[in-house]
Amino acid sequence: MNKKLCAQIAFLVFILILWQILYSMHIWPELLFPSVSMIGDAFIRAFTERELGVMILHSLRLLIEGLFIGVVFAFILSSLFAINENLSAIYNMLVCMFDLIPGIALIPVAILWLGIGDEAIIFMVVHSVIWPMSRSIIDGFKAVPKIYTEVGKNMGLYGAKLIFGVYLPASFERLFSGIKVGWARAWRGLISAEMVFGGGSALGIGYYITDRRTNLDISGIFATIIVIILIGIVVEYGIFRVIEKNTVVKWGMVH
Amino acid sequence: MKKSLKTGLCILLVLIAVFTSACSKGAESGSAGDEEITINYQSSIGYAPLLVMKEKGLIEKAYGGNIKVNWVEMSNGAEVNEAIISGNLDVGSMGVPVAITGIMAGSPYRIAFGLAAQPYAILSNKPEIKKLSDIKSDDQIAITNINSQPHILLAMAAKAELGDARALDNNLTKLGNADGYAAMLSGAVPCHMVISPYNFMETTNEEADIHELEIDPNIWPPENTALVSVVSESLKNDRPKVYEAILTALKEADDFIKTNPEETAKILSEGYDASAEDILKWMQDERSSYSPELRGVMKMADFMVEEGFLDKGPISISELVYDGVKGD
Repeated sequence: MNKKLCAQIAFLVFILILWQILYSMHIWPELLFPSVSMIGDAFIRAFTERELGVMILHSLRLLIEGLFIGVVFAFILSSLFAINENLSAIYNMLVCMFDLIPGIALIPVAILWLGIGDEAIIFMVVHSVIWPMSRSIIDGFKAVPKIYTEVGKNMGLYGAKLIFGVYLPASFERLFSGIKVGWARAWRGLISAEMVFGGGSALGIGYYITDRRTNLDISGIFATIIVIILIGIVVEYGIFRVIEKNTVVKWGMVH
Repeated sequence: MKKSLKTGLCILLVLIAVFTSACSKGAESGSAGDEEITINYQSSIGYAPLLVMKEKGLIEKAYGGNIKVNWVEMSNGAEVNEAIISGNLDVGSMGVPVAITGIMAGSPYRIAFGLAAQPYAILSNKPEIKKLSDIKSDDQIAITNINSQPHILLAMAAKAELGDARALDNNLTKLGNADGYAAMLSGAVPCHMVISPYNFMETTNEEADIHELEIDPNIWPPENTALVSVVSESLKNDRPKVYEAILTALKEADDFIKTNPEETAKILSEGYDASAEDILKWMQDERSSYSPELRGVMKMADFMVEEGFLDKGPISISELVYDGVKGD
């Protein structure tokens, strides 16, 4: 086992021990600070007795839809500059304006325009993805050395061909880190939207947290937070790292 | 490696020391000198006894000595529960199911008195929705919170009329009473399950066409207690004089509501988009009553256990209330 992994595991074990020590000192009531085993029990019960598994699938479906729409739109809109500089300037301004708006502030708008179903949740996810993703794409495209684009143009590449032939491969590393940021933002946006809307057409993870909260089940809340973290870790190590290894690392763009 | 282990241990010890000292300080403060308590209410005319106590200074009067009473408005029972558990609230007021859930989960409080029985209604701004079975999968129903009084009452109606208490769970959306009222008027949500006075405010609003769904009146017995106040065990045990003062103030408030309905309506009308005359009319609805005695609490708990809203229910009412609280 490599050293880094050892350090990471040791740190997690340290946190668990610290948690258990604090619990056993009974500084706070159990209702506020459950033991590690209570959280473990709640974790298992969430899948065996309650339907967290089904809710996760529903949330992930909404997340993937929102993430996909957000990434595609961010890419198309950010590529506008290859066609027209004025359009690009306008889009840049929009990114600066909208990236500042916290998702929660848009909830009243989402309710009024889209009701309280799946569309509203996807809207919130798209909002949380599209702006940071656009920033990464725009910055990535700007960082492409001029010589590359000149060569591309000399070879007769313009518009979409230039984007796909030169800009995209040359800025892949930044784009990829943009997707990582976008995914994290989408995940956060989704859970907050679900906590407000329930879960759209079916119940999602956000609903489950609210349900545990109203049942005063703090262990259940922590168990759900762990589920959220675990899904994040699976995506980070199981998907992103694998893609990274086979693309930017293999191509020698990063170490 | 050894050095880093030592550093880690030192950090751990320092953290524990900081946590414990911070906590013991928190526990000490507030015990000396004059009394101070914090009480919440929510938005419904069912909280009238508390608002009368607040407006008329009844707790201060009943206590006699130096007491500071802080009043806070909260928008759902989950907030109330969390505030009591974390020690920021002494007297919490909420719907019956939330209190039952809290007590059965081990929260350090019990029901000290009932506040009111109040009419609830399921309303819609869509003309085609006349009864529960007309609600389609994409028609949202606004309620104050999941597992709240409106949620459980809706589940009772769903069980009676649709055969499944959970049939409408996917349609629920969380909005405080006032936000739900606004969303119904604007048409942002099609249905609302809500307590008085919002049901009346919605149906009588001339700008919106909102009607009440037909529900069998036997599903929600009108005399059943809807709202209760719980008192933290620390207040009850360590400050019995304050506890007695609160009970005395409540009795006086209930008497005041009976003998001075017009003035009570005037006090309440400040919090709503309605006139004092309207509030008075709604307070005098036959389903509205104010009494410290509990009714239907155990039946509510049984239903919650039966339908999976509660893992473990109380065996008798004494598990939920302090000595001296009457009712079932």
